[in-house]
Amino acid sequence: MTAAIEIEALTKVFGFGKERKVAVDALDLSVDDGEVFGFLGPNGAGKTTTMQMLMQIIFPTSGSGNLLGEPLGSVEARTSIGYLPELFQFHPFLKADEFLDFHGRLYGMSSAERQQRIPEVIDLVGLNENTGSRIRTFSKGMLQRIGIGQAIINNPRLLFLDEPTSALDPMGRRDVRDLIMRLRDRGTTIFLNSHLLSEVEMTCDRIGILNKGKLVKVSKMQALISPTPCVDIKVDKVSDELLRRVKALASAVEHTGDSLCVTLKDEEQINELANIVMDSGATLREFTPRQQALEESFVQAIEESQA
Amino acid sequence: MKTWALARFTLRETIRSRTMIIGLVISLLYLAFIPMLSSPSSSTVVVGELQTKAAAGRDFLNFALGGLNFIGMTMAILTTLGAIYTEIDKGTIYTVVTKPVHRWQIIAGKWAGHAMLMGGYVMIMGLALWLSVLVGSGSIVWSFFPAIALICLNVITMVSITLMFSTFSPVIANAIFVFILFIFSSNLRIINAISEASDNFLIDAVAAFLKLLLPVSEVSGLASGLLEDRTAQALAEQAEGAVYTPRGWSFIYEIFYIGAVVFIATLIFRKKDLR
Repeated sequence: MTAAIEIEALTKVFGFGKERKVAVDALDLSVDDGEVFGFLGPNGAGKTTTMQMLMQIIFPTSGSGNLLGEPLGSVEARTSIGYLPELFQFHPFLKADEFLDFHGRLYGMSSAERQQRIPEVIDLVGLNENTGSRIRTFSKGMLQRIGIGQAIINNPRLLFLDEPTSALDPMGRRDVRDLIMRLRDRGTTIFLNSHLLSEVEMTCDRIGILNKGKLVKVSKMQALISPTPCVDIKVDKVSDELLRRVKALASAVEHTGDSLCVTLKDEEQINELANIVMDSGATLREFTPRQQALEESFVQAIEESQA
Repeated sequence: MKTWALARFTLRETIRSRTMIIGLVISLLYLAFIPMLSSPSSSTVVVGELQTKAAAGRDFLNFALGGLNFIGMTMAILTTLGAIYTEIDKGTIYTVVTKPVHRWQIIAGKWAGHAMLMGGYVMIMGLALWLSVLVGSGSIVWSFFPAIALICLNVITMVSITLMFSTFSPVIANAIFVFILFIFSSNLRIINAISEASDNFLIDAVAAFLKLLLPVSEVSGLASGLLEDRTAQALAEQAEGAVYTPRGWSFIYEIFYIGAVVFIATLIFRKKDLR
């Protein structure tokens, strides 16, 4: 599989002397064609700076990269790239369709292409009733939608989204999630910056975690959210025998009153654990297998990088 | 096509700005009151004793042109002050620079939009003044057209220099830089007079430097000269000795100057971090 994004030792340093701050430190990363890649990190980790370097809003201090096989800054490559910035404002005097028309022109789309594409995009982002409204009258959510609209007007092969759902209500978030899924099904590569881990968990194939400018973890989503299954058990009474047999099976056990939180080595042990509980003669009140959430993996990765 | 899209967009955006609207109101007031402010110049009276209608019309246009030159250049500065820097500050530029456009196209588009707007403004105002003379006195002053073209050039020069500063300096700093340049350049006649009188090398050098730094004053003089009575000019020269006369080629220098300033703006913007 070819890489849509390739970055080698990408570094950005702001300021000089005492003010010197390494925002992104020798970042190496590769995102495959057709992949939805989530870029996570605490505030100030360098996520937006990385995206801005990739889009050449700011220039790297050192390092290099390719987007769709072309070096960073290639105007030709940008014809197939869409970008939604994090903190953006749009020209308030334009109507929604005029705004998309302007951005279509900047993509070099012909008049016929724009006439066909603009209604499609307006429909996709759910602004059908606001086509003729001026942007100055838009709510935050509507601004985010029209922002996504300008990013996909060109049917991009590679799409950068910086916090695309930050201003949206739950319905709007679901719409954006659906849109991302649709674009992925069509083969669009998506690079997603988001603070909302649940969004990332639901949409991304792979994630990278950035902390203090360094990439501390890159992993497939599946590997992050279920490295070790856990089971929450509640019984009428936890006998010593039950506790001894559970401890013998599990890799970790937390015991509080009549509850057990059991971490297993793999999913196949879940049945065995259920049998142990039933054999112990205790009355089972709850038996809930769960996967480790992305949040736990995220916190763990950040803490390990700081240790 | 992309540069044209940016130019059109800039024009539409600027024409809606509060500065432009205030400027247009002032311009309409100017058109309404200028006939009351104007009076025949001494030079016209000296030459002909009996002022002809044509001379009176030319005289009026010369006077009105001075005001239009000042209003046009001030409006050009005020409407272009935040052309680039404000867009960076607000973040509106992010969705533009990330499109398949070269950064020079953004500068060229912005420049063309502002230049078209301000050039168009001067042309329309000039035409209104010219028509008022035609209707009022029946005289056709052809020399007004090259003069108004020179005023357009001045206004576009101010657009260019302000746009260049806006690639790196915030609105207030830009206003200070450009207005200082503008004030010095507008008073070039005074500096020239001091230089003539004092015969001081340093003042001579300052005057020469200012002519090169911002050539609008000299071109304004050239525009005014086109509307002045040539016999009156000759008589004035005889009476007063050496009179400051703008160099005829100064407008050619101004054209190259505009090109150079826009080129410098693209160089500054080409590798600028937009944050």
